[in-house]
Amino acid sequence: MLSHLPNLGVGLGFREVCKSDLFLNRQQVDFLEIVVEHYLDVSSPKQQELEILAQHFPIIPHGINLSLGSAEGLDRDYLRKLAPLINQLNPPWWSEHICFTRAGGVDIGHLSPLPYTKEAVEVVCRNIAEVRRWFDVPLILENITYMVTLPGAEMTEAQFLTEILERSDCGLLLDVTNLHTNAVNHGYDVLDFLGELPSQRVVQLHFVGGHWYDGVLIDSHSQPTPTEVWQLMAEVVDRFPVKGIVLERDENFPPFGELVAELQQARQILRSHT
Amino acid sequence: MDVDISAHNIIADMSGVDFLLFYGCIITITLLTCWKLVKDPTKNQPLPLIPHELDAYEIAYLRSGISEVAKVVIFNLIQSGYLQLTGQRINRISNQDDLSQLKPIECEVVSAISYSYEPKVFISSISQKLEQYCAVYKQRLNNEQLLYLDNWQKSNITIVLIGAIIIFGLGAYKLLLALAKRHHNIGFLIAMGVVSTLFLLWLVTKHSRISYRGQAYLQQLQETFLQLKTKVRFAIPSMADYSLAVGVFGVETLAGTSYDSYYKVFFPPQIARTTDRNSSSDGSSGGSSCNSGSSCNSGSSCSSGSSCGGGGCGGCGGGGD
Amino acid sequence: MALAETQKLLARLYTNTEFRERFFANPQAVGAELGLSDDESHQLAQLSVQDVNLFANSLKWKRLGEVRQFLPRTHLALGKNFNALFWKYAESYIPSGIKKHRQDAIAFADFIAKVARDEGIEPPWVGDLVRYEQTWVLAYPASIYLRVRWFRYPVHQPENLDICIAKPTILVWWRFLGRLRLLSMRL
Repeated sequence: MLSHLPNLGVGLGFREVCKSDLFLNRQQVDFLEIVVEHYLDVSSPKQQELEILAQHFPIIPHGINLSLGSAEGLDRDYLRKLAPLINQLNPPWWSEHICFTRAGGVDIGHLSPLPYTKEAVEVVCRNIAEVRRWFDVPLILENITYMVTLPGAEMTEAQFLTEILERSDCGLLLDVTNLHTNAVNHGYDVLDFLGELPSQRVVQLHFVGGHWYDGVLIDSHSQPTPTEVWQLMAEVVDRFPVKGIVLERDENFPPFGELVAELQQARQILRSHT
Repeated sequence: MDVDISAHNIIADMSGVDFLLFYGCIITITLLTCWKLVKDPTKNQPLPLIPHELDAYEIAYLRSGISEVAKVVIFNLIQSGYLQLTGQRINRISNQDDLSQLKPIECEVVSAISYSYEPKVFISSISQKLEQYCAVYKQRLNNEQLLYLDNWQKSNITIVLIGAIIIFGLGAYKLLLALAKRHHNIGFLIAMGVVSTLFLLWLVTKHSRISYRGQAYLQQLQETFLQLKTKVRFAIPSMADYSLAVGVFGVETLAGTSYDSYYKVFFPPQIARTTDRNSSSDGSSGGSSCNSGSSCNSGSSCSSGSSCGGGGCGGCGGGGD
Repeated sequence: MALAETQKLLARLYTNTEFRERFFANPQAVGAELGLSDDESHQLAQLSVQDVNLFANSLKWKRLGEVRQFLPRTHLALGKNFNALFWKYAESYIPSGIKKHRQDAIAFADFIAKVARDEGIEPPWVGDLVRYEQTWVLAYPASIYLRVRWFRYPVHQPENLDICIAKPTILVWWRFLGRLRLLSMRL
């Protein structure tokens, strides 16, 4: 099923601060990725903004709060709001993360890692099955960065991702910056990691630059993409039939021309390997 | 003089009160029907896509017609060094004779400036000449039904005329009958006729030069390019950014920018205070308003980019102190 | 290991400093409070304290970054004190849901206003300023809104803040389906 997904090209994570420049440079952006939470329970002008974006660009919704890894199950109120939005946009796919963001009534406020265990695989797959009962748009799952390594791992991170993807029949949103960040912070080889991934399931990539803080590489989404990430992207595109690549800049926005230059570089990488 | 109108029909034989009630019903039905028929057919039409290449002159024409186009043209010529603003007057820069890079409308404006002018006076004088250049904008906007089309107005006039004929015909007939019978209690009848007239006149004149579709499209452009207002004030905009900002929002958007003097030509300081609509982005002075779709004072409540890359988000690098 | 219980413990570890200190001081006892067995608690005690602290701090920084966008003038007025106040506040309230950052900003504004009132912080108009910004945040999503607030300082006029002297002002926010408007009346 994933092989039938369309090739979208190179896109941008939409941030309102860039809206004017985006429309002035429409031809440089093949598609947009929107953060789903920005358009749930919003005012009419915000809904209109989404409609305008959807009229002018293919849209991929990207969730950050579904907490697919929550052992206590999904937030049904959240799903109730999410489903109409996904159906309205009718995208070729949508994405979420392999993580949990809440437990025991506490909202952690960010993507938190899961232990690499069979139980966690079971939980994620069960939650994905429930999501599919609400809407059945192809889902791709993103790898996250993590500062905390949870004890009791029964497999490697790559094996954990692969197990979830195969059992739930989802695609992979491979965040190459996250992969690079984790490899640097936790000392593993990215090529070994890539070797363990299911090659036909890598659908989309994320990329951006982070920064160093106190000896730790932070995925702040606030800097230009570093050389190592470009190299990793080229390696990934060479190995996997990627359908789309998204620049996920969140902060410290440079002049839009610099973002366009990064999109063009990504496009060049994509073209040279396909 | 006695006029013998020997009319015996249901209307002629109605008593005054009965007729007024009947006339009131006829007027109400006629006016409601006219109101329903006199409408902008573009009300719920989908909007055109925002083009890849935006024409600031066309947008200015949509917004407010030829005079606004002229303001944008003059501004662009100031930007590109063909004209300069000295005090409150514009004049041509003498060593800029090569007009080959300019658009025809820009050439027309440059050529028309032989000595120094007050911009407002100059715009009034040149508007007629610019009409031919704006015809292409008008045509494109009409094709997209963004302007209120002439034939819609003609059809509205026809509808209103028919309504007027019904109302006046009936009223006039009864008025003549009343006068013939030397009845002088015709005040209500006349008043109803006058009020109906005013309503019909309002119906036929109420539309703006822009259709509903055009107004919605313009609003969409203004919301989409809202950041240009901030960019021209606080960032390093290109000439194209300035041009588009002025085209979409008007000369007001130049307040507080490097071209503030051009803004002040059209909005001298005592007027600027009462028409300032730009204070909403960082608090407001009395009576100001804030577009509900924009960042109101405290920044957007839902546009902050969420770092979703996993643990370790931007804040970590802020430095702990 | 029961994943649900583990996640509950992790969520509290990440968001509650006092709980985190207690857990690492005595993992078995604290783990038992949440229904974990000794083995499970022992395994979680192997978590790197430094890594957990780093992550916990990063979560607060993230919240701070988001809240700053809702209260930019207050942040400017308070300077580094804004961060210090947020750190004090952040343990007392954990926002949740789709609009968590907005809720956080509103709650933090209440906190600042209370501190300004009870303890007096510089500049003297910051309590008014944060209430002013808070009202914009509250008003933003509502299609119908009316709020009347009284201020000692004319905080709606940013150009006056450097020489801000008390000028009692009533501000009215109102919206009926259209634009949000602000009216001011000097007393």
